[in-house]
Amino acid sequence: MSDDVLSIGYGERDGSTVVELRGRLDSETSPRFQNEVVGRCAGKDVILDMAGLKYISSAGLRAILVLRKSGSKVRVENATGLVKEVLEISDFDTLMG
Amino acid sequence: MFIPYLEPDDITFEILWILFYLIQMAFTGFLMGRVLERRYPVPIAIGGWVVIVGVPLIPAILTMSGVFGDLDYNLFDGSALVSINMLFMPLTIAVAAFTLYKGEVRSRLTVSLIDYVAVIVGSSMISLGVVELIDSYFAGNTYVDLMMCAVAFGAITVLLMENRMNDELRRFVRESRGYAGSYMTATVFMAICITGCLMLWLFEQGSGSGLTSVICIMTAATFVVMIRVMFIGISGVISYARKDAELETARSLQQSIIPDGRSMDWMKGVSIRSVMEPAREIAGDFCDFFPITDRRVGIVVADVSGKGIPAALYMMRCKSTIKDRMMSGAALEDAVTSANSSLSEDNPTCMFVTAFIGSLDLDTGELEYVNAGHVPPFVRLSGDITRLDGGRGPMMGFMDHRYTSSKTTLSDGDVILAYTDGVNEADHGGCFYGEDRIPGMISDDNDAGAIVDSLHSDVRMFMEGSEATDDVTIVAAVFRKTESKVFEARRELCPDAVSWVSERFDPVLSMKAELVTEELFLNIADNAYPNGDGDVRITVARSGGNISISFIDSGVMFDPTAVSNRNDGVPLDEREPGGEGIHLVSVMADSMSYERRGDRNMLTVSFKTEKEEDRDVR
Repeated sequence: MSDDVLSIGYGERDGSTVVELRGRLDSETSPRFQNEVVGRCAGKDVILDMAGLKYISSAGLRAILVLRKSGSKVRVENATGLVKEVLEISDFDTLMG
Repeated sequence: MFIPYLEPDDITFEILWILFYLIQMAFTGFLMGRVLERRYPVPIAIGGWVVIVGVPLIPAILTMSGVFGDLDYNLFDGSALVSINMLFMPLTIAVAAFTLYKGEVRSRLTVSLIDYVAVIVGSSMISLGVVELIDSYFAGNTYVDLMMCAVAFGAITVLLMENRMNDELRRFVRESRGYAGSYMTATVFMAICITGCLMLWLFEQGSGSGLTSVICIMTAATFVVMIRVMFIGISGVISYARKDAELETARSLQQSIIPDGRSMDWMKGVSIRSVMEPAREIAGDFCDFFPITDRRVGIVVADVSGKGIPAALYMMRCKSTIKDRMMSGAALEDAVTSANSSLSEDNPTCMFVTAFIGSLDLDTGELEYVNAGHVPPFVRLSGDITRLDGGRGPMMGFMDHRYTSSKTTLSDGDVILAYTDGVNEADHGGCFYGEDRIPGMISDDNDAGAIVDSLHSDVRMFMEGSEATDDVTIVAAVFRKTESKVFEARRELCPDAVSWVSERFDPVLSMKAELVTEELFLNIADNAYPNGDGDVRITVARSGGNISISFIDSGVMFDPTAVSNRNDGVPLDEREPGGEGIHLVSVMADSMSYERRGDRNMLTVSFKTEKEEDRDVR
């Protein structure tokens, strides 16, 4: 199990907040994602850059849903590998731009 | 042959008579069947016989007394009556047989009945031939004709029937006399009626020669014997059929309680297959497999002395006693010693049982075993085929003994092949199957089912044409090295479980394995134990081109494979949280199976390790 932790970086692009995710978004790390990202970006347009994300589970998907429910417009970018597969299986690929 | 006795100018009348007899005989047969089946009490049946035998006499008597004027059909002089009676006797028997066995035709019984009917028909044909022959000498003397016919028919029937009865049927006929006794009244009554009928006819003939009288008495005696034999035979067949049906039930009951190994597939770590083929309907052999704990399997292969019902009864006792003691948590030696003491008590008939009893630890591959006078199993240990020679003790059931066990350690792919002496002592014309061919069966096969099949079919081929003299039991167990760990079902331990599983997968599949583990572990942690703490055992097993992860918990019943994806097609904003995980697992895994066994949920998720799968990217 590599990159045990989730690291979250922030940026700006075209008026949207870019959230760079690295590592794992799972049951361990999604509470932190929820607290931090939802607290910070609620209501804003958010681009989730998943280029560095290796792993996502349903807990991570739930966190993204919570973010949307907070009023944010969420777009997902650069998902690869297992992360892309998970998003597709759960129809989250509609968020991919 | 009876046609010459009929005046050919009134064909309608003849046909009516024949129809009348057909109906009478069919009814007789039906009643015979019902009585033998005990659907009617004997007094009512006797009344029935009186009607059946009496009614046909009425038109004959009426005709003879001139009620129909001077009609002088030979048909009514009694000779035709008797000859038709005899000719239609096969019909009576056939209908009786049909009434009896309709709906429960059993193969062996069918053979006996076909024999039966063949004998009757055959003897009729032969007796007709004999009579035709004699007829040419006595030029139409119906009286002699008929006597000869009756004697020939009766004698041939009795002889052929006795000859055709197989040993088993004969034994049952002998044993069922008491049983058949209640029908004897009816039998004797029928014999008396027919004899009376004959006498009536003889008086009508008015012939008083000595020869006639002798032949007459012979005929009557033959009828009595013939009918008696028929009845005893039929009673025997019925009794046989009953026992046959009971044995059939016993057989399927026995087969259903003897596991074939599939029920242990959930254990992972060991693949067991077996076959138990009784020499007779039911066997004294048995095998048994059961989980002693989640990671320890009990394997028993045993052979009770003798065969058939006594052996089967003792076998049931042995099976439950041995399993019971092994499940008690005692050490194997103590369990076997205690089972032996129990089986030795209250055993006045001195039955005994030989048994190979093993306890296999699926985590370490350690096989502890005791051999109570049984033929030592073969094993393939890392490719070397030897025998499990240790753990010897006397056969169980007749004296107290302190058994000691032996141990050996299996590694991945090792095979145990145990059997009973029905295999090595399979007999074909005095030659035994022996043991030389057995090691070849496990030289390179890794599939327990294939090993059992190849040995079983080889033994069968060897015995081709010979009757099985002993029950044949074959058990093959293939050990699969698996890894297994018990976790407390708590959310905080999810990362531990995920990394434990991940370490056992190669990088290609490790991410999927992690996802599956996380989703299923959390599902169990959140839902399985609403009233407290519990465990989940995770097992990783490889076999063939598959790697699987099993989750076993003893929480509330939950079948993830039966959960539909409630978010399918639902827009993201309208989704309820949850339910996504199971859907992810079911799509990610190559297969997912669930079983509720006792109080346990067992969920297995497998992946193909072969490279052929390039999952379709939607």
